[in-house]
Amino acid sequence: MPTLASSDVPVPTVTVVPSRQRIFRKKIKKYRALLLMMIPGLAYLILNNYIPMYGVILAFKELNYVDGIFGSPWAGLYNFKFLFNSPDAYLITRNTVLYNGAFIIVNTSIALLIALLVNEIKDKVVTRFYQSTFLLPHIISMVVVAYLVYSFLNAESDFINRQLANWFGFDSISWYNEANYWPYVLVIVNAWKSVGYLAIIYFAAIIGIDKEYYEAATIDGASKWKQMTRITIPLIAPMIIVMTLLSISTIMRSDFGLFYQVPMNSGPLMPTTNTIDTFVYRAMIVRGDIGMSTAAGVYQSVVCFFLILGANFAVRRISKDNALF
Amino acid sequence: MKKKMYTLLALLMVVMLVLPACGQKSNDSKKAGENSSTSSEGEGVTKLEPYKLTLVYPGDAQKDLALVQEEMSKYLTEKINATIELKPIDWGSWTDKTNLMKISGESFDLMFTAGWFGYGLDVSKGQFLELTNLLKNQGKDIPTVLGDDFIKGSQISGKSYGVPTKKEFAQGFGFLLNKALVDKYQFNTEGVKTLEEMEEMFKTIKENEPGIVPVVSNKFANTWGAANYDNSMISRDSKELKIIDTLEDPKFIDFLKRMRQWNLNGWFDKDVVTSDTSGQADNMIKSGKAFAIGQSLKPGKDKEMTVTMGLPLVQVETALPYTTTGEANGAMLAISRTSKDPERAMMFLNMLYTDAKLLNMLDWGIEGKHYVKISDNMIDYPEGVTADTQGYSSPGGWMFGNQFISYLWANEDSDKWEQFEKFNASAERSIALGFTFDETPVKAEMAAVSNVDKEFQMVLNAGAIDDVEGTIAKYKAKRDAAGFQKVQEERQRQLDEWAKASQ
Repeated sequence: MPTLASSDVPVPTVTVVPSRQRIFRKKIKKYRALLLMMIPGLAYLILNNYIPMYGVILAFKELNYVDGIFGSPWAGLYNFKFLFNSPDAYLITRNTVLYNGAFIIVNTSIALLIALLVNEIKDKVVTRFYQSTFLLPHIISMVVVAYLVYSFLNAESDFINRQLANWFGFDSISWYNEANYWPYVLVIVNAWKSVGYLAIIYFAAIIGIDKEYYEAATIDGASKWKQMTRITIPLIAPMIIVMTLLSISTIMRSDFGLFYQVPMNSGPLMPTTNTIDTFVYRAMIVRGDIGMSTAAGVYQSVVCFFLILGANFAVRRISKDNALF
Repeated sequence: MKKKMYTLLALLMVVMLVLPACGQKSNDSKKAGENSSTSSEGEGVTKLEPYKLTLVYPGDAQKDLALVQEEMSKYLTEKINATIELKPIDWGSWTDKTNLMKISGESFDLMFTAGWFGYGLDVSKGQFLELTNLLKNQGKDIPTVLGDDFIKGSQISGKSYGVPTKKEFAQGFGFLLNKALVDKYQFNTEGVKTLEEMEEMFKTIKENEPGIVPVVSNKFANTWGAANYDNSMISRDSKELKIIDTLEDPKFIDFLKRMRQWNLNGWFDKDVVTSDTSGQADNMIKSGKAFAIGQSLKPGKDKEMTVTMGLPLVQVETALPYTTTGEANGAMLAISRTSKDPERAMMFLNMLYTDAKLLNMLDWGIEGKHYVKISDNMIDYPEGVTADTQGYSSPGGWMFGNQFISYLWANEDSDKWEQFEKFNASAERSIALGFTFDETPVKAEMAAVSNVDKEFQMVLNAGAIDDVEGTIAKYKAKRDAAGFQKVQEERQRQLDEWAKASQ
C-alpha cells in the first residue's frame, strides 16, 4: 500500500509546485511597481528600526565602557527594578494608560465632528482656511504650548484667574499647586494640539467617498443626519479603526512635552501628571543610566506590542476586513 | 479586496506621515586645521612622535575655531610636538553624543567632566584613566598649582581620574538684591547676615513697596541647604562622619516652617512653586519687580549677574563659604581610556596649568584678532569688535586648567584672582571633603527616591503647604517605600570605608 500511495501522491504535487511558483512569479511581475516602491521604506525600517533592536540587550546588562555592549556583565532583571519597586509604579502606569485612553476617545470624537462639519462647507477657500487653522497647533512646539498655557494659568498675570474669575465669580485657583484640575487641563491642551491633524486625515477620507452614494440617498429622501450616520461614518470606519489601533500601539508612551513642560515640572502636580516617561526622565536626569532607561523602553514596547495584538485580534473578530493584519 | 487595499494604502500614508525624521546626520566634528603645521618641528622635542590630541568639551562651535586650533597647534608643535583638535559639543546634545562616543570606543584624549556632570558614573564605567602615575611624571606641576585639598577632593577612593580646574574652591551662600532698593533703604550688605536680619529687609520692602515682591522663587531653600549640609547628607555643624536625614533634623524642619511663614507673610511671588522652572523669577528680577533671589555666591558674583540681568545687583551672604567635594570636582579634565597617547595628553594638561600663553589661547582666542592686551593681565575687545561680532567667544575659562593665569576682561576687577585666593583660604572645609558617593549599588532605589523628592521638595521649599510637619511625614513615608533606608545605609557604609581609607 505505501508504495502505491507514494507513487500516487507525486502526480498532483508535481503539477502543483511549478504552477504555484508560476503564480508567485506572475504576482511579482504584476505588482513589481508596488514592490519597487516598497524598497526604500523597507530599507529604512530595517536600518532604522530593526538593526538597532539588538540594543535591547542593554536592558539586561550592567554596561561598562571597557567591555562594551556585548562584553559587559549580565544584570538579570535588576535594571527593571526601579520601575516596579517604586511606590509610584502603579500611579505612573495608570496615568499613562488612562490619559492615552482619554486622548483616543476625546480626540477621535472631536476630530470626526470637525471633519464632518468641514465637509459640509461648500466654499473651497473657507474650507482651506479652517483646515490650516486646525492644523496650526499641531506644528507648534510643546515648549511654546507650555508657555501659552502658563500665560493662561500662572498666578502673576494670568487670564483665567483675573478675567474669567471676575466674570463668573469663582475664586481664583492656584493652578500649578492643585493636582485635581490637571486631568482636564492636559486633555484639553492635547485635544487642542492634535485634533486638527486627525481631523484632516478623516476629512481626506470623507472626500474620497463616492458622491453617488449621497445622490442616491438624497433621492431616497435621507436627511443630512441619516447621510452622516449611514454613509459617511460606515465608509470611513476603516480609517477610524486604523488610527485608533495606531494610537493603542503607543498607549504606554506619553508625550514628554505635554506631561513635563506643560505642568512646568511642578512637584505638587505629580500625582496626576507623572507618567512612565516623565518618571524615567526624573530618575535618570542625574545618573543617566543607559541600562535602566533601556529597561523602561523595553517594558513599554513589550506592553504596547501585546496591546496592539489584542486590539487587532478584537477588530478581526468583529470585522475581518478592517483588521491591520 | 478594494476595501482591503484602501485600508492598506491609508495605513501606508499614515505611517509615512507619522515616521519621525531621522535627524542625527549633522556630524559637526571639525576636521579643519587637522593636518596643518605638523611639519615645523622645534628642537629638543625630536624624540616625540607627532601626535594629534583631541579635546572634547561642552560649548558651541565658534566661527574662528579652526584658526584658534591652528594657532594652538603651531605652539604645541614647538613645545610637545603635538597638534590639537578642539571638539566642542553643544550642551543640549552633550549626553547623547558623548554616550555614543564612549560606547563605540571612539578615540579621543581629553574630555571635560564634573561631579554634577557624570564624573562618578563615567569612572565606575571605566571611561577615564587613573592618573596617579601620569601626575607624578608628565603632570608634576599640576599638584603644586592646585594644592592638596583640590587633588584629594576630586579623587574617587583615593585615586585621581581627572584634574580639577583651579578656580573658586568654595561656595558662598546668600541672596542677590536689587541695588536700587538697597540704596533707597540703606540696607547694610556687609558681612554675613542672619535670616532675622534678612527678614527685616523683606518686611521693609513689603510694607513700603507694594508693587515689589520681596523674595522671588524657591531657590533660597536650596542655597540654605547647601550652606548647612554637605550634599544633604552630613551636617556642617557636626564633627562626626555620620550620614543624617535632613528631614529629621530639627534645624531643617524649623527652616521649612520659616519658609511657610515667609509665604504666609506674602513675601514670595505668587508662582513661587514654578517661577524658577518657568524663568519668571529671572524675568521679575530683570524688570525690577522683585527685590531678592537666593543664589550661591563667589567674589564678584553680583557683578557677573548684573551683566546677565541687565540691572545693578548686590550680593549679601547668609553663611560663611563652605567647601565640599562638589567644589573640588566642579570642573575637571579627564583622559579617556581610548587615548592613544595618555602621556602626551598629560603633558598638554600640565601646560594648561603653567603656560599662560596656551591657556589664554584656548580661553580667549588669538591676541590682536579676538582680544587686545590693555595691561599685563587685562584684555579687551579689539577696536570695532563687540561681544556679538567676535569670532571666538570663550567656551568658559572655568573649564580648563589654571584659571588664575587666564587674562581678565576690562570690566572685571583687576584683583579678581587675589579675591579668589582669599575666598578659597577663608572657606571652611567639609569633614567629608573628597568623599564621593557611588550610587551604583543602590541605583534602583535612588531612581525611585529622586521622583519622591521632586514631588515634595518644591512645595516645602516654597512654603506652599499649610501642614509642614504632616507633609514631611508623608514625604518620609513615601521615600521609605521607595527604599530610602537602604540608600542611607549604603551611604554610611561607603563613608565609613572612605574614612578608614583616608586616615
